[in-house]
Amino acid sequence: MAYVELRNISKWYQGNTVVHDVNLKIEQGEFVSLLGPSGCGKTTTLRMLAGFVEPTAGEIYMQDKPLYSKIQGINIPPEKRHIGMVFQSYAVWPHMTVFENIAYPLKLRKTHKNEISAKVSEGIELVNLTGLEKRYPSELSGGQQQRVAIARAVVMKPALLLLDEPLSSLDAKLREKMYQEINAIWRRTGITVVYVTHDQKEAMALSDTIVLMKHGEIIQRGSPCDIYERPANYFCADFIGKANILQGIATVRGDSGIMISKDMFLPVEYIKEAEEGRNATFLFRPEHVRIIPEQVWNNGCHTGYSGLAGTITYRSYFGSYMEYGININYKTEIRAESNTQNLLEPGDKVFITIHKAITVQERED
Amino acid sequence: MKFRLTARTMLFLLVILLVLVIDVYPMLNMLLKSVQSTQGLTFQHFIDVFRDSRNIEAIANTFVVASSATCLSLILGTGLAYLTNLTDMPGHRFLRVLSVIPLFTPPFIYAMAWQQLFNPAGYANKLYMVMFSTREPLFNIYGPAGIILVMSAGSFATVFLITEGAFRQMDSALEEAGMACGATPMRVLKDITIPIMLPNILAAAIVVFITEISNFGIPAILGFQVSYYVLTTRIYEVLNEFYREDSFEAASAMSIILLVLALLSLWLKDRAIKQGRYEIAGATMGQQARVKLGIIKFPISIFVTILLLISSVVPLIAIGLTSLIKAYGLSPHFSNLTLANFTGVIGLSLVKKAFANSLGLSVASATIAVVIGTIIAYILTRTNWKIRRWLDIAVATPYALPGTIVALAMILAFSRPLPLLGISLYNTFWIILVAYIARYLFFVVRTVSAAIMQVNPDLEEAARISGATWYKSIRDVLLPQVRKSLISSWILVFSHTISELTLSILLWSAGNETIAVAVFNLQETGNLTSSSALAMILLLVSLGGYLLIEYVNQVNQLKTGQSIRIER
Ligand SMILES: Nc1ncnc2c1ncn2[C@@H]1O[C@H](COP(=O)(O)OP(=O)(O)OP(=O)(O)O)[C@@H](O)[C@H]1O
Ligand SMILES: [Mg+2]
Repeated sequence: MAYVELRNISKWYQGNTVVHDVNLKIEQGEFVSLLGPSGCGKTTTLRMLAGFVEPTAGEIYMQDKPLYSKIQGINIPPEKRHIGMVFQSYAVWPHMTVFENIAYPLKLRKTHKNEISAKVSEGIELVNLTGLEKRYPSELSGGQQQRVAIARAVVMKPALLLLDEPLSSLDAKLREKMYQEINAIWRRTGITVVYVTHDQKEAMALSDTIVLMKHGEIIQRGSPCDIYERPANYFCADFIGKANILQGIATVRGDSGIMISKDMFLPVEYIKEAEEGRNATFLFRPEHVRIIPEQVWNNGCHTGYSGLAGTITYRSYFGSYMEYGININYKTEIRAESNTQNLLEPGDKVFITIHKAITVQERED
Repeated sequence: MKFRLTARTMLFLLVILLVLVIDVYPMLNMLLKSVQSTQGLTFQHFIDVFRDSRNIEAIANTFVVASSATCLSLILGTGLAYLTNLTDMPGHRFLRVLSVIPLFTPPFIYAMAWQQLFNPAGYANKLYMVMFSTREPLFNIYGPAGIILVMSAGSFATVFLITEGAFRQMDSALEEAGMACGATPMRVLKDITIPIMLPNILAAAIVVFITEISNFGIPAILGFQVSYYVLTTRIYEVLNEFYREDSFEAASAMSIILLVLALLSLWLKDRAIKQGRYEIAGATMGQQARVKLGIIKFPISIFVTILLLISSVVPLIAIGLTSLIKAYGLSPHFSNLTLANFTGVIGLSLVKKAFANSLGLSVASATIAVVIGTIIAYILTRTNWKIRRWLDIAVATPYALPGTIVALAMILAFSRPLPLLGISLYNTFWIILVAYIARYLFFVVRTVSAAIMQVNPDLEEAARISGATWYKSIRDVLLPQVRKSLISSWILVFSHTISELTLSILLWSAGNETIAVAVFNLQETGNLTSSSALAMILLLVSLGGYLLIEYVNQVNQLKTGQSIRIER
């Protein structure tokens, strides 16, 4: 059995399904991110793990022991689960100093005074707050309060650490710094982490495993690389990174398939559920699109791939790369990334080639 | 949500049961009593009430007195709010302080003070007669005119505070926009300012109206002398007509009439607020343009100051004087002053007993109300129990309704022996305690639930996940956050109950007098110097309470800064 296991977990409020039949296994020491759009049930799932929300159905196990089981009538209260949690609002107690905040979980466990002191110091060091022990939360910056919240959550060496969008109220710069620190803390403590976020960058940077959710269901589970390279559907591809989508007819040739879209011939690396001769949806990333200006294309230096004709619609500068919008056949808009040399202008005629694409299930809107 | 019978659930259920027993049951029981006879349901009691012309008169008087006082308060209150907030009249800070003094004074003490000024041989009348060498007094306080005057003097501050808030919220840009469209200042007042203000003014009017129809102390002190009765005093009278067999039934039928009046007004207020609450987006914070009064601002300021001094301060000086004078009627020469009234009145064994009673009642009711009220506030703000709405109403009702009704409901509910215990609370200390708790629980619930709502629930959950049980998460995290509200609601209940008259006057019995009852009885027997001395002590205690609340608020603000709050 896995270290933490959610089995057929569902939650509904007044007939409104918020989490639907979630199954999830988490290994010891794993860093798992729950990722998904707002309202998809991430927080609810996390709070069911913590014990603040009682599931409507299913079972939750940790270290082979049930935390919740509808059938067995077991529901361990939050304080007995030995789980640490960091809240979006930090939830640092304003009437206690930094030291008292971090010491509180230990105090409840009747830890000896000297030991509390030692462990709190250790925790304060872990989050780089040395010297601020006697401060009240109102005398700390947002980032510092967040560190207190993290130290408080890990000081009792919990079996599992839950974080609910812990960085969403920090500014972009600080956020990046903090997620490196969270990563460092995780490495140093070897703790098992479930991290809720709707920021795909955060999830990619931090996790072993990303669990993508939508409308209360798990859509895909895999390593960041897995999900980026082989998204299960358009939703996943679009949520993790940027994605373009085109319709075509599947033709399988050898190992790799080839998609033929009316006037285009395209090698596709990974064909899934695409039947020979059937309509299929395929999907590719902006960085896998090559843009060739019309004159160059007409000079005949194309690479053997088929090309699609289009017109540049917009251009955005991102420093390390340039994003272009390209209109194909006056109906489909494709996003493409290219280097920042040889600038093209909106209105320029171009051809594009696509050198890596995959098929996915039909887009469901 | 599945229902588990944990210790917490049990605690909540216990508290809800208590609310049922002390709030809901007495009210429903009284409703039932008013339509019950030995033969079953009947409207006979109501018919009897309307047969007696004295009752009809009391109803009519209630209307006359309450609506006149409401009108007068409205004029004084809004006028003052306008002058102090929207014009450049000098001295508005000082005037604001003056105008809220009556709010901290128990109304019956206020009535006593006015009575000492304007009874036919009162200080003001005597002064007038000497100055103008006449035998006619300037104004006789006894009767409807005096009652209306004292009620208004005591209530216009309420109107002032409510409308002042509305005036402040009023965006001067709204008025400027009107002027830019070409409206004259008068048109702006009529078409923009007043329509926007109207819901607030209406709400204030109804609050005052309910206060007036509920008032007992003022019509008792200024009406009994000349046999002028309103509903509350008439109910008191009927309950004291021991020779009547149906005095309870008659009183409850009359209470129902009063109740209907109060409920109707409350309903009107709700409607007024719902219909006309204009959310003024981005309420103005900056300087509001003040109307320039020009040269007449000084006479206006002086006039208002004198008016406020007369209505707020002079009566208290009068009662202070009486408390220090050797015998009422002597001229206030220095040689006629003495502290003997204070020592004398405190020496009375009756007063000693009353002090002990009141102190015990107030401390006990404040403490119990804070404990129960906090739990109710928690249920209201932190659970999703369906019963919350009803609980809220059940707690608010005894406060919103006239005290006379609450007292009568208590008598009817607890005159019979309690089940199991077999003892009756009637004519004991305990019925007063129950009534105090039932009536003032609302203060605690309102104050504490507002405070709890300010605390992010994450804070408690953070404690739970750290290993704290529910009880410890409340004790270590929630309660320290709302400590200020606990302390101020305790003081609030204490300072209201220590000078409470309306409930006590109907519920007291020999040996169970409260201080207010003692003051009232001394006053009624004509012992003005003693009653004034006692009233002064009461005043100081209430005033001390309010100052203490202010102090607690300030200290708390200094100590703990803002916590991070994120709306859920
Ligand atoms: N107590 C509740 N009663 C009814 N509906 C609820 C309750 N709590 C959450 N929901 C609903 O459940 C859905 C999922 O909520 P949840 O907080 O889990 O979303 P989330 O994925 O964390 O979103 P976000 O990224 O915005 O935090 C939402 O549609 C929300 O409205
Ligand atoms: Mg959330």
